[in-house]
Amino acid sequence: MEKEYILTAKDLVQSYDGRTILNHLNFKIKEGEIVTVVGPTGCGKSTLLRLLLGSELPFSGEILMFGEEFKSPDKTRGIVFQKYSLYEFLDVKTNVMFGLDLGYFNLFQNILVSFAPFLLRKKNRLKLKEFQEEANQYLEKVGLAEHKDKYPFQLSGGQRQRVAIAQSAIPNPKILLMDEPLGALDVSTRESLQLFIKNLWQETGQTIIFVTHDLEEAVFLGTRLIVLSQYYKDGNGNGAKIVKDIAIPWAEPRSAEIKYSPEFSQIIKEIKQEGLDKNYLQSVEEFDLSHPDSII
Amino acid sequence: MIKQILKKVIKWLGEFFVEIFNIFRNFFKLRTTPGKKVSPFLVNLIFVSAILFYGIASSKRHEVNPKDKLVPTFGMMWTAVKSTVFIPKIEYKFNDSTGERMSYIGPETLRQAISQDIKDYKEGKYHSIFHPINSAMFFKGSTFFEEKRSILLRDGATRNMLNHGESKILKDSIVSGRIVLKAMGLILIGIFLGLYMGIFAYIEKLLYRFVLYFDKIPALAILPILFVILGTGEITKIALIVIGVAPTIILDTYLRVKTVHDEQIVTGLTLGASTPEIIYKIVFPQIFPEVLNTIRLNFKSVILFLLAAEGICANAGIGYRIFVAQRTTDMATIIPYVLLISLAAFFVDWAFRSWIKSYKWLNK
Ligand SMILES: Nc1ncnc2c1ncn2[C@@H]1O[C@H](COP(=O)(O)OP(=O)(O)OP(=O)(O)O)[C@@H](O)[C@H]1O
Ligand SMILES: [Mg+2]
Repeated sequence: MEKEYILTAKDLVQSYDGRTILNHLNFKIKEGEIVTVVGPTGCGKSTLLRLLLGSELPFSGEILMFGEEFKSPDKTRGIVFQKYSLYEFLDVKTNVMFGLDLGYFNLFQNILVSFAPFLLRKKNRLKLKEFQEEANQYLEKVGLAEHKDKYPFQLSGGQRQRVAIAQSAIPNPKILLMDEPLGALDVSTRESLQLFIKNLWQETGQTIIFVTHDLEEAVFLGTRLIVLSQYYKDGNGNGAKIVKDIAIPWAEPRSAEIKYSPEFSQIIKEIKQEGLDKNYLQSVEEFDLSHPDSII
Repeated sequence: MIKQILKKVIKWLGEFFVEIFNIFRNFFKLRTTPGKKVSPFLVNLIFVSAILFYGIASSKRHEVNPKDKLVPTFGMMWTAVKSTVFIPKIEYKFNDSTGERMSYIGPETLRQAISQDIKDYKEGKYHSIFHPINSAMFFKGSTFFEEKRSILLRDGATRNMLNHGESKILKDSIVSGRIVLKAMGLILIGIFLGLYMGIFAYIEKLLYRFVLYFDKIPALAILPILFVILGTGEITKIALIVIGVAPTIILDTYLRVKTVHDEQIVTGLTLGASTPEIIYKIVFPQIFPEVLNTIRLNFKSVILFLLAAEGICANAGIGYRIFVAQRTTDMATIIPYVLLISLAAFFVDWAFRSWIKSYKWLNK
């Protein structure tokens, strides 16, 4: 049953220092969806992503990928952080092709080579050409071909995020997790990157989980929207819950214009009226929690 | 033409005076930069005035007491420098089998030797220095080329003199330099120890407290123990330097590893990196320039420990020479040696700084 779903979260709870941050989250994600997660700041969106990635283990409950548990990050789930995704000491093209020639050690070799770095294999010359070509293609796609020899510090925020997205997408993970990758960008850069992500998704058909605090972005990008509630009020509370989990019925491919259509603002309005606004203002207890598994 | 040059000179002078005026106007101003023309002047001002002050003070003292040793004049220092650098000590060797004295016959000073070589060369006694046969000096007894004449660099008076003598400062530098190099090599291992401590939690648990404690032991205090255990040779000095400096390097590398953002490692894992790749392709490259900087800053301690060990027990070396000279208040020897060490340290510092600067991604 769970094997059909790429990700299944069952009664997911996370707490730090005895404070519950995420309170019994349940959801199932099908392959090929773009799930956007919104919620007020500090509600635990990044925490949720870390759990889905496997870089952190839940307090209780479980996360399954095709019905199987995982205990640490691996190649099947890529991530774009809001910050620190890029390797500052590598130039753009090396950053992008970083994931192409890694992970060829077994357990014994892992230990041996850890203490004997001179055994670390040099990149295969022939393959290196292939990798470079692939990286160049990706850089072309993200529109950074002429910046490929620069270092990350020489790029603008938007360019950096584009490199980060290319870097995480190039090894072709099954799921791409993104933690507010467009958070610090201006409106127009944001818009073009939203379209870029949309295109990428259409080309590769990857599952994407996209965290943001911008509702419009979430509605525009997602095929499905999950809204988390505020996790506490006045310093105490019982953790964030899913207050809304809806499908976004919009034809693909979407153009940027739909953002300015009346239907779009209508949807935003409804979501706000139904929960998100109260979310910021009222305590969690007042919410009428919609059923966690309800996919409209 | 002349007018143009004059114009340029006047313009330059004008800017120069404005910059000088700015020194006074902006001296305590925040967020300002001294002008390009006065900068070299400012940089060297204290150096030059210190040298001038020293020169005046020493000559004044020598007017009163010509035998004064405490503040040698530049002339005295020059003689001392010559006696350590330029005038090789001429040793009389004995033939092992016959016991016959093989005395050195030739010029007395290096200058005489060089001028004799020049004279002989002009007279055609030697091959041209551009002749390929010059390489024969590296292969003793080589008969590849026909040797019609002698080879300057092999048979010249200068070479002969150097062969029969020794340069004190060169010998001392080699002895001390070898110790420093070996110690630095061992300290390099410390970098890896720190790296593993930062990355493997179990190695951290095993070593962290121990290294932290070890770091607090004043290395000089255990020097007597080292002498007893390791003897009075080179190895004791290397051990002292390593014990004194390595813990700092280990701890610093460890802390640098700890400052690497977890996101970087997690990203590596999602891209499929294995443990060694995380260590050497993600963590190490980004802390390396900072580790270099730590080594650079700790080079001073290396020198300090070197001098301390050599001062107590040695028969050659920079520290040894200084302590010997100290007994006879031979300032004229001490000062050139101090200059030599500080210049060497300054050069090492410069080399490290340019190495660090060569990492363009550092954005500094
Ligand atoms: N390692 C930790 N230890 C203790 N508390 C933590 C830890 N990580 C997160 N928290 C707490 O968990 C809550 C959720 O944090 P999280 O970073 O997931 O929020 P977020 O929804 O991503 O917020 P933002 O939109 O601002 O990024 C916060 O209140 C934070 O204080
Ligand atoms: Mg966050």
